[in-house]
Amino acid sequence: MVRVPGTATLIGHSPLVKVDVVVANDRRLQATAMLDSGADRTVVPLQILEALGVDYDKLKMPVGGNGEPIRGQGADGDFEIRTCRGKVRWRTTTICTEFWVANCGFVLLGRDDFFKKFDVIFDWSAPEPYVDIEPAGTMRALAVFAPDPD
Amino acid sequence: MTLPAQDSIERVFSEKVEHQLLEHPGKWVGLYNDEIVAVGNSPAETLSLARKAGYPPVLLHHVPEQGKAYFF
Repeated sequence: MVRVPGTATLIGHSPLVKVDVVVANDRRLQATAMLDSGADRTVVPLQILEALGVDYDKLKMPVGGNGEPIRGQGADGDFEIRTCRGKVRWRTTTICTEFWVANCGFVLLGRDDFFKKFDVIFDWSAPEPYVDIEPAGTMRALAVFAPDPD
Repeated sequence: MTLPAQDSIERVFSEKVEHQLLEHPGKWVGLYNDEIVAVGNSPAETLSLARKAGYPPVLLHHVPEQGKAYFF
């Protein structure tokens, strides 16, 4: 397996990257985001939306297939989430054009957005733990062309 | 096989700043050029403090509270 050095900062075991959060009228700010394969989608802290001047009360709750509002599930029980139109960008890639808003500390980059666009490999046991982030499909291509270890 | 480092590699913070961040549990920190330039209780407060200090838009980072587990 060909291994490309990591592209994210690990603080403790938190893999962080810098993202831009952009909402209507091109209001934007830069924030740290955590790669979170446990998150369904991209989630932006409501405090960041407030700083961008978005009125949380005007955002709609996402609705599931049963017609009921979707609620987030966390260690402290379930919590309310809302949907906001806007972009989260990492480098030159738009990760999503709509995201969920919740009371959380970090922007979370989840499976349906970030992890479909990028391959991510965590190696916690390396002498210097790292995270590799490459465009989707790159890791598989590298593995195919890597010399057989034997 | 390990490929040489690529120019796409980045560190969000220097090791020096990583240690400094730990001094602000639960706070929203504003960073500019890898320096902590504002510390507040919300992104809006931190952005305001940085702006008043004359800084252009800063990178916002939330420092987890010590002893608190995060599950999402």
